[in-house]
Amino acid sequence: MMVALKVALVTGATSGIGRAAAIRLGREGYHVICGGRNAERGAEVVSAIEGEGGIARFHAFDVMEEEDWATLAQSIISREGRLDVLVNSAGGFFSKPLPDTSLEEFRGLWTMDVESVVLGTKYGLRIMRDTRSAGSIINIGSLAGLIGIEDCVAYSPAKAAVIQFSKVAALEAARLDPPVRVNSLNPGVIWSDMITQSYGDSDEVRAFVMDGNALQRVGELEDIANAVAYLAGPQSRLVTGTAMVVDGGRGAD
Amino acid sequence: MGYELRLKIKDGVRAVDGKVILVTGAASGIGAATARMIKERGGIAVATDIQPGLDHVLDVRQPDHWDAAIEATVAKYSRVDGLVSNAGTMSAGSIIDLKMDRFRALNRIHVEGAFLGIQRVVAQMRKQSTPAYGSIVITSSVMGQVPMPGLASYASAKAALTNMAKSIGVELGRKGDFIRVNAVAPGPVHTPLMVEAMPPGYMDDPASFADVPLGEAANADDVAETILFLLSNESSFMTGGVSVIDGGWSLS
Repeated sequence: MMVALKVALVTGATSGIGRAAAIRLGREGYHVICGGRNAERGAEVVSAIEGEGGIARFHAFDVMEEEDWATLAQSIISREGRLDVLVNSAGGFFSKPLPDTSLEEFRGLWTMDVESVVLGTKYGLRIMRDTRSAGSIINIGSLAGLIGIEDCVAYSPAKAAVIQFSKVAALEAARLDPPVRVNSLNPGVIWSDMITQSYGDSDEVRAFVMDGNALQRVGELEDIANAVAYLAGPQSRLVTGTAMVVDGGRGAD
Repeated sequence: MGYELRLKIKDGVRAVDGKVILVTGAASGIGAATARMIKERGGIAVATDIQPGLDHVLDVRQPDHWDAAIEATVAKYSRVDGLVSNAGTMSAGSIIDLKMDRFRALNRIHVEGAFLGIQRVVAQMRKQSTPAYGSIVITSSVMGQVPMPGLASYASAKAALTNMAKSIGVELGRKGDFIRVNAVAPGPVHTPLMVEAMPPGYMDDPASFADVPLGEAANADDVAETILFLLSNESSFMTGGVSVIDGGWSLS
């Protein structure tokens, strides 16, 4: 089957930024393929998109497994026949001082945050090349990849790798016919499960998170979803290789 | 919640509904495209330029021109919600041989012009509400971040503008206002300014942009699209940032 609608694939779509991005792209009229590991939460996101009149399907897979990516790529090529947007949002986080961080923990996060994006971009480009889609790939990095953050000895360098990888991928993707765009989208501290699970869900944490921002409010998932919509669409048709920052001014100084 | 965030989808398409936005350098190029796009998307564009024929004559170097344009805008629409500080010029040539008065002239338009305008527009926004709301977009250039032999005066002025967006954006936010300041950094763009600055035929020759990964120079509309995004509530958590629109040109 070939679909006439524009098609978007979002990894990590079962929670946090991925979920918000999937819902926003559904609203924008994309046929959204929601990738994730948890089928129950996947079904919830699909029904949230359908509840607003959008079209979506869930595809269960592990972003760290190359075979899973190959299967998904084949599925998209044969079912949808195009891929206009890929949001590589799946990732992990932990905060720990370096002397207490094991090499296994470091490698684990590197696999989850960097290898997943490398695989995603690789197979995203293959799908876009083989279906001649003038696509846009959006890799979710972090402000932590641009500035140093205490106790983020694994996360900060992993996100820096995502940012730099995206620049190289942008140069290669520009050579495709039609060209594909690749950008990293780098949130500051966004009020999400990732933060509350690590630091707790309290007024104190909220105040601390807000205080570091220049703009005196916390970042919301919608803020990142809005930027995803900008980088996905034709309004950014000449934007590639950039490291877009949405951080309430947290990192500017 | 003291800020606007929950958006209906229509806000993504008609992003600046009802907002009153002052645009400098609006007679041509990026400024003209931005003013037109603001109107197309439900906003009120107050188009100004040093050349007569638009809403106001505004030489950005003249404090009284700013005061008059803002006063007239407030008299007519009762507020100012945004500023696109865009007026600029270009001066090429080896900096070693560049006459000091030409260097100063360029900085007066770009740097002092933006400073005068932002100072006055922020003062007006603060009269309108506490905390104050608004969005300011400065037209900078990727040359504010990457070196450009032969254009050192232009590039250094743009570097000043890029940092101005960062410094003022952070300063206003920390003072509790929701006035956001961001810069756009275009690479090569088809505008009358560029056509005039480059050798005859250069901008029309696709070979001129062979080193742009996406293979083409931007149109004024491409830059205006990003300015509109930064003016809209879609970017309400963005301040002190630089949005690059260069087809990948500055990557390598």
